[in-house]
Amino acid sequence: MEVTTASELSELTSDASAPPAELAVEGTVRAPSEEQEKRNPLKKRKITKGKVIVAIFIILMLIYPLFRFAIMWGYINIKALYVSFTRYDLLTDSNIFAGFLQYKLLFRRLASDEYTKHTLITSALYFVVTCGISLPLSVIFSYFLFKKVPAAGVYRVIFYLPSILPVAVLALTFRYSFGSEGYVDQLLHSLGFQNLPLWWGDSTITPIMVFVYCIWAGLGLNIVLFSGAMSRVPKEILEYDQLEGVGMARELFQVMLPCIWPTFVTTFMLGMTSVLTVYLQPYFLMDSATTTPFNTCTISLYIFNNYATPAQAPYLAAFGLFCSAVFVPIVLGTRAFLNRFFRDVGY
Amino acid sequence: MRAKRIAALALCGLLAGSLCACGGGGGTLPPAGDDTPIDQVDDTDRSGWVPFEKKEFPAGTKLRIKFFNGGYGDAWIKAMETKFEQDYPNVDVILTASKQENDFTQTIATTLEGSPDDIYICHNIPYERLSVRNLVMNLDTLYNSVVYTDTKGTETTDDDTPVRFVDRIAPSSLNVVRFNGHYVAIPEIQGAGGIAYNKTLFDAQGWEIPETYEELVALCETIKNANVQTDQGVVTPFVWSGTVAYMWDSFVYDMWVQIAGIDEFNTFMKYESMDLFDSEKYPALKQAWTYWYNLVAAHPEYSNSESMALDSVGANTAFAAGQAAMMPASCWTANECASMAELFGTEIGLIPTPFVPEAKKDENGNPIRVAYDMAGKDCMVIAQKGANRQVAIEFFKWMALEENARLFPENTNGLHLAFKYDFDYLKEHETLAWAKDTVKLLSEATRFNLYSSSPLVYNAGTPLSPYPEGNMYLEACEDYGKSDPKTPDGVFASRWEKIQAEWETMCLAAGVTP
Repeated sequence: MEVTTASELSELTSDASAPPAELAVEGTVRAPSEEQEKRNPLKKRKITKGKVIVAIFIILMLIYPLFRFAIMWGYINIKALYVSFTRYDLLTDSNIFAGFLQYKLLFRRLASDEYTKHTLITSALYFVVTCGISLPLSVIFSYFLFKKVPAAGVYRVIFYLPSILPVAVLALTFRYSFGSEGYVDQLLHSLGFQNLPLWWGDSTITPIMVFVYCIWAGLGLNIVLFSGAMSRVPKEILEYDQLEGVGMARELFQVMLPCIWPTFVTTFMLGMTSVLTVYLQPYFLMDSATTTPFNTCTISLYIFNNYATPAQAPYLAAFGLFCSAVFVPIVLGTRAFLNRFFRDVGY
Repeated sequence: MRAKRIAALALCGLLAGSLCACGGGGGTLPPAGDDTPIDQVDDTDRSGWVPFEKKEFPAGTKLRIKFFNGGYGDAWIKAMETKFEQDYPNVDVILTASKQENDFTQTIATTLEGSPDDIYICHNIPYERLSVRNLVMNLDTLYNSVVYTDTKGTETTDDDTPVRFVDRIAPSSLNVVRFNGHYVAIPEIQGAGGIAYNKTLFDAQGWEIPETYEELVALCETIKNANVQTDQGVVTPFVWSGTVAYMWDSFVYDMWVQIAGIDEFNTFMKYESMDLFDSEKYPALKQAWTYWYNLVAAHPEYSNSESMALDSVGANTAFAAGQAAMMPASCWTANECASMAELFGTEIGLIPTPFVPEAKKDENGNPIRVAYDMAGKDCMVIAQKGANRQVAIEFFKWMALEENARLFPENTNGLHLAFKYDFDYLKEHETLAWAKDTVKLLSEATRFNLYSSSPLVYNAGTPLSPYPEGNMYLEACEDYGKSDPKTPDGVFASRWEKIQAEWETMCLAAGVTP
């Protein structure tokens, strides 16, 4: 019998791996019947007390995250929404309702201001870079590490090292590796490449350099996540692949990927949000410059760099909310779409 | 169903309110900044000046100062700490250094509401807002307090003349710290920029300091043709940093004000009309920018080939290492390059921005020297809730004394506090080329800065600047020689187009009637 999809494999293995019914309930407490409870009021009180303790535990555990969510997400976003419809007045240090003024200014700039347009385009390209390049690379590298290629442990350390170094150190190390004093240029010169580009001073090359850095620095974390997911895939499936003579490419794309699909979707979603969240990488690579030149500015870096006083808050709030309003439905839609695949498997 | 109706009604209300507000939101120009000139005591003859009598403080009094440890370093404040403690043995000065600008800008209001230090020193302290919230001290009393008494009398009277704190402040810094009719901060720096030059190299090659723009162009050609070889390669006329390309502002703004005159510049900074951005009516900035364009963008061979890719540290290093003869500079440049210059054995000097042919002339026919102060908004404030405000006031009066104010240039490679120095004394005693050049420039030039009291700056979401579209230095250099270059005509036409399209909305967003 030839097995073609992970779901078929899952069905095959589920029978063998599923524990017998009697084992499944072994060790659990059977719920007492009403009659038994009536007969034994002491036991009933014990159960009620247990439920209260559990409830208190859950409430205590939820208080902090809920409080944090309410402040850091709820309050801030509601306030940002309000602020975006105001203008600042220094003499009273207050925000005055101004209707759609900030949005009017924003739309005008979206239509005509080159810097604003480039900021949006650069941010959107992070989707392509993160989900289109970084994520597939992470899956492929994780798979090779999982298959225990020679020196897999060394590669694992090499891939993960950038993730444990401070971003400022890593960014500066990367920046100074290129340029006339950097080892990359010297290496390329020794290989016969002359007239090298200005890595950090060109509107076409520099954004690509920032993307390359993001890919390099971002691989480690993704590889750890995917390696963890792959290690949970049952060995029986892989042994079956081996017996059937399934090649590595086919195993990766038709067996492994569907098996780790939930992790893939989560990582894909996180990658998508980089469109709205990336700012530290270009910030450090471009010398923390307030104007962030050479098409390297992103949406959040624009907001970060331009916020100095409450006077800037209304316009920046409008800018941020507009970007979120456009992008969040895309993220949610993509998640809904991706979740339609491989529902019946997941490790 | 009912909930839906209520929600729909609420949304309609919000929309209606918003649309109504679209037509309004304006108002009259609020009386915030104050440009009224201040009469100051003539300080040309300082003989007979007697310092104020020091106050006594109880033993164990503490003065807490938090300062930004950036381009000016901390040697100057440590020197002041030592001397102040000597002069006031009962006072213990506690310094807190911070390299986080946010401590002084975004989070300072929260700090000042709690248990703050007594004094804060940094750039970009939002003192206007802090004063509105009564978080920083009203300093009118300090500004009117007597720092010196002039005992020599005058021709008309034998009475002693008080020299107040306000008389000690450099006049061009006073506009920065007055808000709503009160003094709310103390200006920190009086600086001047232009072009830093490698004096060691200039002396070795016999290159002359250019006085005019034409001489600067000729010098660049001479340096290029000299083809001077060093360990670092061929020396180019300029090196500069792409990430801080705004350092060219010192050069361009100086030429702008040379051409326009200080009065037209001050009118511009009020942003009262969009016509100020029309380069047909006000051509000076475009002319200045064109001079820069013709020298730098149109001559890539005059700049170190990596300039656009260099960050500020990279540019400073290349300059100190002798890879280029000159670099656009602000007042802190020499201090930033100090350690590297020492390492490479380079002495750095300052060339004042050379005069352009259209520069305004004085009554004797000499071009008027002006100097753009990039650090003009750095300031010091006293916390309203500070535990020892009277000691803080005493500290600033003490700082205004000439001998104490000198501690700053002595420990910062020629930077100066915003006090009126005895420049003749400094000229005599300065040893560093940069410090000497700076003192000469400060003593000759009319300083100006980009501080504006217009609501279009302090109330606006995207504050106005002379370049509302960005300063375009990089784009001009990058696009030169390509099919669609950023020429001065294109840059300034685009600026005017943007202002025409956005002026009304920008005014309304700042609460001003267009």
